[in-house]
Amino acid sequence: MNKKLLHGTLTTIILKLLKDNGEMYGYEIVQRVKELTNDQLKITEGALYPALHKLEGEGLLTVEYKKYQNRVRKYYQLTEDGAKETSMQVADLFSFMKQIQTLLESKPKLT
Amino acid sequence: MERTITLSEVEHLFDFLAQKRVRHYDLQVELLDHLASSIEEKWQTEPTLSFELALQEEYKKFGVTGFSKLVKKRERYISKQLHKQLHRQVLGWISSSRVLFVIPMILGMGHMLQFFPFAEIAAVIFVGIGFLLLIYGLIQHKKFIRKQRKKFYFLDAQVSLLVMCMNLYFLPIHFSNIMDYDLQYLPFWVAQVFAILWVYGMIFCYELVFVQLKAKRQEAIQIMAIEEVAMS
Repeated sequence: MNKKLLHGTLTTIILKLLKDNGEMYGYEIVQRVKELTNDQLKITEGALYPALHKLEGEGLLTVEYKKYQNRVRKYYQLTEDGAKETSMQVADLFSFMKQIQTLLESKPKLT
Repeated sequence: MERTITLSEVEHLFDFLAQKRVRHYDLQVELLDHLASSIEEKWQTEPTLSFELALQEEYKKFGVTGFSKLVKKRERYISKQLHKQLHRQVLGWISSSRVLFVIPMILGMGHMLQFFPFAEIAAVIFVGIGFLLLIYGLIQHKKFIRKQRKKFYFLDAQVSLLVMCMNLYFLPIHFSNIMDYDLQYLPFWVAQVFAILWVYGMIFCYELVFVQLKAKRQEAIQIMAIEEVAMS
């Protein structure tokens, strides 16, 4: 799978997952994407955390720290703005995919 | 029984992250959990794999640059977020009942700046207040780090912002020097602009020191309390 394609849609993927699952932690997001796509899509750690921190910085995600076994785990959740942004980004992405599909399926002009 | 990360392995992970220049506790906690979770998952299929080897394999997934790019990007996002948040809080003074305090201050300051000796006294008072806020903020920060022995980037970033805010205080003085204005003979519009800058700077520093830094220190204490419970 083209890494550049994934890079361009990573924030939408993260937002959608959080909308569907409530709260998630970083590693869980990586695993969930692998699971849902049958290992076809792999989010790298180097891409995931900057995307999460950026979304947090933009006020679209909020964080909560909880105890997990003998360590602390950081959970991400959507804010109200994050929920609105998710709907917009998902709609935009579907629309974009439809346009690309139309373009790629168009027949060449006969001269 | 599933193999899980032990307490001494958690401490080893903290040391590993510090060695890899992840110096702030708030990011250490997140990356430690990621590394620990991925190692534990590896142990489900390879239970006899050594902790060290598992750690090196998981660390490789962060790429050639390791954590450094991630750290730099996070610092940039947090600094931007803090700046935006504070700016919003300062503007909040204008859209709330506190505007009754802000407008007289700006007008009073602007008025004082046009009349010697008040101009120089006003400048000294405002710059002095700024310095006191800066020193108070720095002392509180140092005391906190000395007591907790942990650094949090969201606190360090705010202290850097406080120091930068001092530049706002000196901007009118630099401007006067460049334009060769005498503080006592400032044009009306210049006096108002200086007054706005100084009042903005003072509110910014106040919000930073007495609201933001205080709230973030509480947040940091809560995170450390969770860690204490987790590791006991």
